[in-house]
Amino acid sequence: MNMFLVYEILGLQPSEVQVMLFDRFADGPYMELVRRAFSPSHPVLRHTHYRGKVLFRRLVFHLESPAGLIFPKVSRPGPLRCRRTSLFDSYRRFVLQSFDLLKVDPPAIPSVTLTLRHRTPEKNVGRVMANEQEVVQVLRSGNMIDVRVVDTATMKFSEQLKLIRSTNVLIGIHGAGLMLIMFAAEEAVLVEVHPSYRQDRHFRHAARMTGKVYMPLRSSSRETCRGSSDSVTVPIDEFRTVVDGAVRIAR
Amino acid sequence: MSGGRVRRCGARVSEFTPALPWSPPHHEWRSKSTHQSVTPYIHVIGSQGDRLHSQLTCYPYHQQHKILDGRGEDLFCEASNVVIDFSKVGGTVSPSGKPGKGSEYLRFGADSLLATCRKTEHYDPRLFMPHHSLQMHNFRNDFQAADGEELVEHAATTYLLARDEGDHRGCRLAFCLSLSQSQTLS
Repeated sequence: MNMFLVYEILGLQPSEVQVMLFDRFADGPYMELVRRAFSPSHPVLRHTHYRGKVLFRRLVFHLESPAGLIFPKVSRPGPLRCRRTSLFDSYRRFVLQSFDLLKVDPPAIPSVTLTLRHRTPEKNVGRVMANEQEVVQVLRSGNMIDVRVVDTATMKFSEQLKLIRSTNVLIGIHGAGLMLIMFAAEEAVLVEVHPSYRQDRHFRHAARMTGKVYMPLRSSSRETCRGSSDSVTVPIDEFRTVVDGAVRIAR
Repeated sequence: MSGGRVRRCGARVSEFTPALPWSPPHHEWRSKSTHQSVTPYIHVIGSQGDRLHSQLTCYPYHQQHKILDGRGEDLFCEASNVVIDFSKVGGTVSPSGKPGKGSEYLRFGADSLLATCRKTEHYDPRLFMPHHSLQMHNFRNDFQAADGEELVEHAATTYLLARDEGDHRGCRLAFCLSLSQSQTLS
């Protein structure tokens, strides 16, 4: 979003800009977003592309801001009670347009997407659902809804965006992946399962600032840990009730 | 929602007015409902160098929620006709994909960023953001190309993107073991 701000303020046309990564991070899942939205006509470079002295006719230095807009302190002292901001709306439009997904009709019947994360031998991910099968069963037992169960970590960003654009009930455990709610269908609902130790502010903010409905569901049992990853148990009866409400809102 | 009335978030989060005309070196960027503004801060004016006519202009950006928090401004910059000496820029992609804190960014040797301009009274290297500061500490503003030295020219506008991936992780072992639910909810 900071990159978007700089483009708008300086009047940069994405088609005329070439992005050069100037850090030591791996490309990561958002590289496709950088390429398609911010550098669509030029390949994204690393500093190793050049060896000697290079004259740049126009060079832009990134606005780095560690202050995430969804952090609880944004709404201090209480939870955010407003809805929508043009900053989020504009960024949302910009990204969706870049992927040719802005003009997409909402799904005809409620389309529910459950995002899950799984540990792998290579990566001990943040939060996983301890009773995943039970949760999926509840969703599959619903009628007149379309249910998708995905692990977005295995999907390209464009695939995630396409999926979420046709989603009007997004369900997942507290984690960065829930930011996708900002790209969901109009009048979408976010059901966040949050572990006992997290506040329900971050994605309440993300949802509200893009005009979505937010429904929190707190896990009441203690998490179990494996290294830096924890397993969160979804209270299944409450989950059924919350999903029923979310689907009714989306219908 | 309070009082049944829907309020927009502009009072707490930056609002945005797209596609405003931008005319450096002085411009204020704001929407009707907030105090958001961007004004040039550091302005290095180009002078007639050997070949270049460089300029560096930086803009503070003060996010609405940071204003309310009493926190300071962020900063971004644009430059024209500047030279990067890539033989003095080091650093590889971290083998883990995520470098440790303090080593996220590239290394810059002396004179790795070159321009022909004079620094104005606003120039203050302490104002740059962490990733940019490393580069600007090695900024030389009186560059003269050596006789016969040829520079590769990069014509497209180039955006140097230094990412801050944050440190948001799931459960820390000590956290899970030591805090009770009531403590964590306080």
